[in-house]
Amino acid sequence: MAYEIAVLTTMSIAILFALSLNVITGFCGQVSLGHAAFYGIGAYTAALLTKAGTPLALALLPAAALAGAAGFVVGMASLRVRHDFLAITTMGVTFLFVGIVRKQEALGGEVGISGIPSVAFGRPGLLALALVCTILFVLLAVRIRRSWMGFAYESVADDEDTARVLGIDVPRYKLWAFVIGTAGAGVAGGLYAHHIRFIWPDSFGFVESVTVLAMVIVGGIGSIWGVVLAAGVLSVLPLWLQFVDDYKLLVYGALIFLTMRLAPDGIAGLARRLAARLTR
Amino acid sequence: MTLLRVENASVRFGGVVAVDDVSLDMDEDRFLGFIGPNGAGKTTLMRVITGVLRPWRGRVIFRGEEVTRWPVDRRIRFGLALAQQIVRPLASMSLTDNVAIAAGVHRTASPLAALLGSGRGAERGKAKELLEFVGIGDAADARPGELPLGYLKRLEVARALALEPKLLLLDEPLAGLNQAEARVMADLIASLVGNGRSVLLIEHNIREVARICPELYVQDNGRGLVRGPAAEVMASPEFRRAYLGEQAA
Ligand SMILES: Nc1ncnc2c1ncn2[C@@H]1O[C@H](COP(=O)(O)OP(=O)(O)OP(=O)(O)O)[C@@H](O)[C@H]1O
Ligand SMILES: [Mg+2]
Repeated sequence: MAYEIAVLTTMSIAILFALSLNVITGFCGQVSLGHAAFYGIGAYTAALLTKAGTPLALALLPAAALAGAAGFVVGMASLRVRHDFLAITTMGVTFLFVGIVRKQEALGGEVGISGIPSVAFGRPGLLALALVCTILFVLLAVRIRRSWMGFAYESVADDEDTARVLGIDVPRYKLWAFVIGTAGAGVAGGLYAHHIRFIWPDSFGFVESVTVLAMVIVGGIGSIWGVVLAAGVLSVLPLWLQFVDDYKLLVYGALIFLTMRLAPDGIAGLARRLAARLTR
Repeated sequence: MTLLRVENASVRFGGVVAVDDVSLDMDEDRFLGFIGPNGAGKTTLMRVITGVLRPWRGRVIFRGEEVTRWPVDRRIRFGLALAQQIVRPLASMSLTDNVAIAAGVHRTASPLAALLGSGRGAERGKAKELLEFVGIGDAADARPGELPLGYLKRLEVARALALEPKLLLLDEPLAGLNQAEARVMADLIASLVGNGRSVLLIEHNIREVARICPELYVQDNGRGLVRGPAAEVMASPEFRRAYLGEQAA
């Protein structure tokens, strides 16, 4: 049972993390190669708070708030850059995060933070908490998609100059996407810290940013169920295949490359085309 | 009442002065034809009015507010709309949704309010009516990528109308249409004027412009040449010089 619970917790956290990036990259069309930094902010915040005695369920709130605040700042800085330049700018955020945390004694420096306490009701309690957070985020994503906010995001992702001519306040919409997406990553990070119970700067580096981007791209940029599926499968791959764990960057990089070349709209796009062919 | 006032606007691109100290104003419920040869700076002046470009010098006043530093989207929500010369459809959406998102401009004004609002039926209904109105209702469910330029030009007009503007800016809406279609479209444009709506029409099709516009403004080489009732303008030496070249003057 313990093994299954651990696997499900891993999947749930990965799904939350990937869906949070999907708001920024999928809904709003802003590629981010630095999403792990916000995951890290959430992880460190929650870990320090629970070590000081706060229950995790409460510690997740400041984790989300700090990650979201950092997302707001990065979003502001990213308003003027587009496409490739945005990818490079956000990639810098990952290196900045790792670089800063390494030098902070209070954050455990190079050694990281160990002895992160277990959650109330142990492993099943953590799984329950992770599932609640993930389900809430899925509901939020579905709501965004169906609402006028989602409609506006579609136009921004499609062509932001045209969106403006149609009266959409593009910078404000982008900032909201960054805040919602990075706050979600903060929660995922807080959960992750209590799942592994040890964190260090390299847990939140470039490799993790690429991994989560691979989940979004393979699932189908913008598709909620596609990203859920891809994140669920790709997150357990390293548990089952030692090879994937050893060559993470290579495997996820190759997955991004192959998807972009062969099926840019990912699993969701493949399924849509298949369904169209079958009903014809 | 004055709806729009452009004061001494200048725009430079590197060494080119595309708009040179131009002033222009328009009252409510008016219809002004804006003509001039290629490269006269018509589109550039239009972009200054919408805010896509900031003028190097000069001011833009719209509905009594100085909007020179406002971003495009704020001017649009304040009552401007633009049908662009180079069509820019949202490629991922059907024509209906291209227009529906414009029809919902008050619903997307604030992201949080937009998150609380769902249901696109009313706006899609309005969008279908507008697509019918401009004569492309048959393509309501098609994607822009599947359609010829004549359709996309009219999509631009339908989208601009969906914003319910006080001032409608049209940049060559007849381009890409055949003679019969252009005539229908011109009549349709003329019918939009009034009830609190003014139209500024850039157009190379002088025949249609002369037929429908009561008033004309001519620009050449970035400078305003002449403005007045259509017949007077077309008889003026400035008009002939702009269109027939220096030797005719
Ligand atoms: N983005 C730009 N960068 C550099 N030069 C530009 C730019 N836009 C316009 N120009 C130049 O400014 C001048 C005016 O161009 P504009 O497009 O405003 O003319 P126009 O009157 O709309 O012409 P047309 O009838 O061909 O559409 C031209 O010389 C053009 O080459
Ligand atoms: Mg032009």
